This record gives sequence, structure tokens and C-alpha cells, in this order.
Amino acid sequence: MIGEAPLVVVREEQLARYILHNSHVRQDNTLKADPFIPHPRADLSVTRHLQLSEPEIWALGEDVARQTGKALKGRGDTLAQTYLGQKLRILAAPAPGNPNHANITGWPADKPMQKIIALEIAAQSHYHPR
Amino acid sequence: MILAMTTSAVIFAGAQALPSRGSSDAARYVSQQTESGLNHLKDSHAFGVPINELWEVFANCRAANWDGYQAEPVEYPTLQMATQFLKALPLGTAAPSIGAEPDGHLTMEWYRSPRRTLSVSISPEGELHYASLHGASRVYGTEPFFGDTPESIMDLIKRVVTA
Repeated sequence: MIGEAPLVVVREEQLARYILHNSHVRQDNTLKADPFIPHPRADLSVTRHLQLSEPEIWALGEDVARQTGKALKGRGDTLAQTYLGQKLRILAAPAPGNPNHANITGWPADKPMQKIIALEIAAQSHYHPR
Repeated sequence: MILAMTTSAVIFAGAQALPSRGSSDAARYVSQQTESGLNHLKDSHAFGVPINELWEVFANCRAANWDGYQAEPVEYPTLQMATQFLKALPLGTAAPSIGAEPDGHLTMEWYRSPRRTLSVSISPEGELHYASLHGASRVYGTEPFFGDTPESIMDLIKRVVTA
């Protein structure tokens, strides 16, 4: 059941980034840095697992995919502390249809710096195929 | 027959092969065949240049919001720049994996493990933004692309792919 999410994101939370392209996933089922790059936007959108069941987490991903007409390929799960360890911040940002939405903020504007951070995050994320 | 053999010999001399600078018809023919042969080889997976994969990613990421998170579309000039970058890689270079980023840049990744990897982003303007992990070491920066693979990026490719 999706209800009102707490506004404080704790280090132990799992955060999902939905994957719509096979090119974002390596052959060994690890994730590339590409889906973790925020540019040209300032923030990176994620979904907090919180109390959601697996079907509910996937249902939110299906909503993301439906807007593009593409199929959901999977999701990358990352511990909140991975983002915090890269000196990023996590702000709860409930959205219509997704009260568990959050933004990863505090990214450097420099693209290469974003890429190195995204590589670090990808290295500590876990890919779950749909 | 003699010309064909000469052309093949030049092609398979590898990356050092240079087109003939002779001015005779035969020399021009050899030069054209050499160029054509090199392009054919570079367009094939046999030499590690995944042009087809590049086109596939481009086709899948041409529309805005292709990632479901409001990504910018990958534009044709970016594809052209990425194709030139691929073709500029010395023959025998390990094949990268192709991807795209939300700002519409195409990416090429050389990968051995999550902490031994190089990602290069190619912008439509010909900027190469790169980042590489080698254990605890982090290397990143930007190089302009003027038709040749920058030495710094070639060094990183070698660091990732060699044992």
C-alpha cells in the first residue's frame, strides 16, 4: 500500500532507478554509469522502497515506462548511503502517483565529475531485471 | 590480381598502413582499395568497432524522454561524431560497449569490472568527457576530438583492457 512517505531519508534506505534500455546494463548484469548521470538536469530522480512491496516497486517503474511507450527492463537499487558517501544529498519529493519519489541533489556542474560519481554509484548498485 | 594482392597486403599490415601517395592510375587504385578495405574492416565487429550497436542505441534514443526521466534526444550530429571517434580508434583496439546519457550524449565503455572501467561521453560538439575507475584510483577530464583518439584516452583504454 502506497501511503504518505516520511520526509527524512535515512542511510539504510534502498532507492530505485528504473531502467528502460538494455544499453544501460552490462552483459554481467551490472549497471553502467549512464543511467546515474543527472545532466542536463540538476537532480537525479529515484524511488524510495520504504514500505513498498516488490509488486508495488515494479508498478511504479511500469508507470515510468508507460510514459515513454517502452518496456521496463529492470531497476537499479542503491543504498542511500552510497549517494551520501559521494557528498550528494537526498530530498524526499513526493510526486503525483509516486509519494516515494526523491531527488538526488548537490551534483557538481562539471560533466566529467558527474561521470566519476556516477561510476562509483553504479559500482555499488544492484541491477534487478524485470 | 597483383593489385588485389598488394591491396590486401597493405590492409593487413595493420594500423600502420598508409595510402599510397603515388600518382599513377595503379597507385590511385591501390590507395582507393586500401581506404575502402579499411572502412569495410572498421565497419565490422571482427575488428571490434560496433557501428551497428551505435546505430541501435541512436535509434532507441532519438525521441525526447527516452529514459522515462525527461532525457534529451540523441541528435544526428552526435551519432556522426561518435562514428568518427569509433573509426579513429586504432585497429585492434578492444570494442567498447555503446550507451547514451540523459543529456543526449553517446557513451563508449571499456569494462573489466565495476572498479576497472572507462566511460567516454561524446558530445555533438566533439567534446570527449571521460571518467575511469582503477581500483581506488579515479581519473576524469575532458579532451577535444579533432579526428584522432586523444593519447590520454588511449592510455586509459589500455589500462582497463590489459591484464
